[in-house]
Amino acid sequence: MLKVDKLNVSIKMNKGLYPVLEDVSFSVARGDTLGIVGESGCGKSMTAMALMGLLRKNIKIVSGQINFDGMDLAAFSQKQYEQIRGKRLSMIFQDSMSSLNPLMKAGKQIGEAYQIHFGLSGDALDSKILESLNSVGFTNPEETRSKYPHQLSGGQRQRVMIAMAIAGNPELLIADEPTTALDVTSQNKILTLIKNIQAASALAIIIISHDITVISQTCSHVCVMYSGWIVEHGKTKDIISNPKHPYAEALIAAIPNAKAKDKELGVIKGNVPSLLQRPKEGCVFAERCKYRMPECSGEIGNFVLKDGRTVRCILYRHKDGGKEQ
Amino acid sequence: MKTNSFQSTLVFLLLVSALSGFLTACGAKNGQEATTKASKIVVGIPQDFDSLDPHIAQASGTEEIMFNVFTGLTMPSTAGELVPALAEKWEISADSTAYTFYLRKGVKFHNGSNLSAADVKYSYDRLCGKIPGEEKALKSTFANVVKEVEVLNDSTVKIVLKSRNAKFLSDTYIGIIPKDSGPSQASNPVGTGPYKFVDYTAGVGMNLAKFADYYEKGLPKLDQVEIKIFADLNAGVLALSNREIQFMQIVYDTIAQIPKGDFVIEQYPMNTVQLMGINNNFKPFQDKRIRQALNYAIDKQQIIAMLAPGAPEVDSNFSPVMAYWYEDLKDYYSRDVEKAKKLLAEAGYPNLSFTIKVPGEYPIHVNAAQIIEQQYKDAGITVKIQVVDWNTWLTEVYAGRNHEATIIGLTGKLDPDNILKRFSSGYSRNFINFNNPRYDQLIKDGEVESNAAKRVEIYKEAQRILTEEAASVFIMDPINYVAVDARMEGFKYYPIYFIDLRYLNYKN
Amino acid sequence: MGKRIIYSFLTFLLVTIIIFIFFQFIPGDPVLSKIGLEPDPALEAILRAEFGLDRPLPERYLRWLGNLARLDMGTSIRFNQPVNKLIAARLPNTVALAVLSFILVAAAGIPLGILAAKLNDTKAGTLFNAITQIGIAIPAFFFAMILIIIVSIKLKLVPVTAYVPMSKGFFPFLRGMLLPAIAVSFSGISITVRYVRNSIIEELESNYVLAAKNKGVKSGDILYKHVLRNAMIPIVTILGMIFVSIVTGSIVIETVFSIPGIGSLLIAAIKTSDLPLTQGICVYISIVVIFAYLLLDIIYMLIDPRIRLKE
Repeated sequence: MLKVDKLNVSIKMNKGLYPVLEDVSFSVARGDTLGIVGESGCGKSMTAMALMGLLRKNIKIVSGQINFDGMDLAAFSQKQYEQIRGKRLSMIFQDSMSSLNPLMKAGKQIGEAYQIHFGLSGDALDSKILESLNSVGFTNPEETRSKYPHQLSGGQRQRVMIAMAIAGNPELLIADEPTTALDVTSQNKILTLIKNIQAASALAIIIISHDITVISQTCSHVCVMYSGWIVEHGKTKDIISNPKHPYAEALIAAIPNAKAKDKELGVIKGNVPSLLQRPKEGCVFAERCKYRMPECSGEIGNFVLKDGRTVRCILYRHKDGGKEQ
Repeated sequence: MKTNSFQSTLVFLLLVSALSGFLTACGAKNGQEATTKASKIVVGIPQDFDSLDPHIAQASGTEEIMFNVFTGLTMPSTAGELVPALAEKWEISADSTAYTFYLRKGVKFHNGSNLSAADVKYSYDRLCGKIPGEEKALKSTFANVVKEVEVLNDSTVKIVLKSRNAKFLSDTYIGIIPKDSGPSQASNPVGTGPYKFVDYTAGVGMNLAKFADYYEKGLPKLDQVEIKIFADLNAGVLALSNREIQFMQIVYDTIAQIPKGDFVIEQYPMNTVQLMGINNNFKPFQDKRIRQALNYAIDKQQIIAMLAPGAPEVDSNFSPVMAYWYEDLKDYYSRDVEKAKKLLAEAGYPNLSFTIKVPGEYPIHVNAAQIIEQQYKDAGITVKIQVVDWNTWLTEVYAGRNHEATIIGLTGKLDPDNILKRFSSGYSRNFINFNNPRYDQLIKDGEVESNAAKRVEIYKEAQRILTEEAASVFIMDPINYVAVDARMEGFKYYPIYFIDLRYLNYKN
Repeated sequence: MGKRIIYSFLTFLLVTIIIFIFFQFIPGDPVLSKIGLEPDPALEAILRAEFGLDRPLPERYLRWLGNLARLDMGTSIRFNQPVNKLIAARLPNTVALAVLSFILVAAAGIPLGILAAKLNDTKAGTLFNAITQIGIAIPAFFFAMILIIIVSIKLKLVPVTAYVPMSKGFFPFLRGMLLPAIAVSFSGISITVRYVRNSIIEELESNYVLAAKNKGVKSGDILYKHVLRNAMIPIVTILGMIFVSIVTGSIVIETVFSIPGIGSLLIAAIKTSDLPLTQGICVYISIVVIFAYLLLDIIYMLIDPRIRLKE
């Protein structure tokens, strides 16, 4: 249903043009859940914004396609986007506090979506708001609807946001760090809620998280992103059990493991390079990579392994049945 | 996005056009106003009235307008003489202590009642604090002088003085008010003048209307007078150049801003002497030679040329405008820098230095101080100028006599006693601390001398003393500049503060 | 709110004491000022006793405070009239000028600020910025003079002295106030435009704007339905400060346009060391400012639910 093909996005800064997403390609089918994982600054949220047409003014899609149900969203104007946002594709934002209008009651914020998409008003709108609040797990929707965002807890706000996001019955839902600010109990509740919603309406979901455990709980497939590139893309269980890309390997190793408590955390040395410092050629991870070879600074391709996953690492040129794309 | 910015641009344009439409509508209305009210004059004045009650008001700025509402037993002529007003004539007793006034017949007050001797008695008793309920003396010039007021008959009144007082008559221009009207005068002034009071708004101004029963038939010429207060002279000049005012006193600096064809600038001496008052108690100024040096070192003609071209130069505290009393001492001190230097050296102050305190509200005095500063440099005299506000000047310099020198103009009066008494040693505001026994004696004699010729001699000698002793540096009688609408005629000026609105009229 | 009123009251008391003391040290004597040149000696003593100026300072202050409690502010030395009466005659002019100026600031500043925000990143927007920059820099009295020269002298739309008392009709009164109000409000409008513009641009970057767009809200609606109210929160504070500066700024403008307001009265009072009148005017200005801030608090509460909760 959604097929992203060689998407390149650049940011204009100090009169220069700097790439933020490079050759990003993936696809999601109806009923599927795709995860995107990576450290902050790797381009996860940027990918989501590009899909939603919500990139800031100085950030532009340079090339590539976002094929959504036969339309190329990459070429969409804001006007065209206004026709489909909320209705066909929608998003849950990472910070529920700042993403809700602080001066508008929860009920009204949800109601606005129903007004726009279904033209509801009056009693019909009222009952729809209550139904919606109920469906995202509020036991006392009558009370919740007249509360302002600051009067709600983090989990409650996230649920209001979910209610807002799914009001238009979208076919694709992007959840950007939906549980980051929440405690473990609320985290599980929200993830369960998302799963239930998917089960009920078979919509496609993209979950973005820096936390691989969240991805592992929810997603069938996952993209591992680093510095604007997708470095590994495949089935979640394959990648978690046996990461191929050195970055993915390091990321998985960094998961706190109850069984291996005494073992030192597999911390990745160094930092994600800033936009200005990104290498123009070769592997973006090379600098931090423990397997670094002279070839890493040359042309790097994507290699499709025999289990179907794609890895962007020179190591797999001839390994694990790697075939250059 | 496009439609919305279009909408707000539209809203903005509507706002602007509504505003300008509003202003245009007002403008049209304003134009109409001007054409329908031809028999009206608007007079601009620089300060508010201190009181509408003629017996309480002190300020000459109030008096000059209220002369049109109130009339006294006598009034000044344009030549500065006392002429009959409410009193047709008067007689002075042989010992000069009793004045009998014969009132003009058929004079009406603005409230319709007839003027009678009882009203005169009431007015003078009130000034002296002899009215039950109004026991405070309002003017000591009367309280100290008048013994009693007798009503001889309905139209004859006799004022008896405590002792001989030659200048009493010149004070009788004070307004006569109807019997028992004292308490209400401050809010509703009622007199016998050519114009009656209509309304007054503090800070804004006053409206006057022609009094049909004014005793001089055919006067006043105009139907309405509006007095507008301009605390800011610039605003006044702007209103003047826009022809919203037909009459306003201005200063020399602003003449250039006033459109030539629209206004006539009337110029006449003020009967004011601008002087550099020097404190005779200040150590160096105790020496007559230094005071004379100050007189030799100054160039009065240059000051006149720069500040008030055409103004008469003076050498004593008397303006030539009052010709009858005037002693011509012109060129007693003509500029002689060498002589000044010599005198200074002789007195032991070859490098004299002193400070002039000037009131900042009066540009003519501040400017004069600056010119003098330059002129005195030639004689090796250093002048520091300290500009103070009017209130500080009144307190520190005028009442406190705490200064070395100052520049000020003291307004002219009808009687020389009022002018020359200022420098007698006993006078409470003798701010130059002039102390000369002969002078004091002359002032005392002049007050009671009833022989006119002798009285003139007394005051001429007093003037000579001021000059010979170099009591101060007397500079000039500055010019009064009044802008009068060129469409008007009938302007008259007086040697005292009096805007006579009776004869002003639009030319045919 | 109660605390605020107590603080206001204490500030007010302090101000009156400072003025009382200050007047003892500035040169100038009210009675000497009143009687002027060639005074009548009888008058000076009468006046000193009449205004109680022969009494010691603390006694005079306490007496003044006592009278104030009975809403009597004494008699002006310069004008010989009750201070209350003098102020009552002029307060409507100052309040009308301030309110009209404030309405102009809000009515012109907010829409123009929205427009400026929309024009952001365009050439027209840069021009707009330049104009507002000039507007902030020009002193009000200078602008007033320019207005008089253009509108009154050159275009002859309104007379220089357009002031007409309210008693002569509301419309002529309003007409007389318009030009002065424009002069007073000009810099306020410029400041408001800048702040509204910046506030809107800042708010447009907020996450809730993205969330609203995500919901399907059209770009145009986002400004009016979501951003504007949020953007107004900092503007309310600015407008409050502008109101206070309008009240003080009108002091100069009143003199330029010959409007008998509190400002010109205050200048006259200070010039003549008229302590009762100066004190009285300060009391009234304090009341106006306290009232304005109270109103500001209420507006805040109406706009922002987060503040309502705290109170």
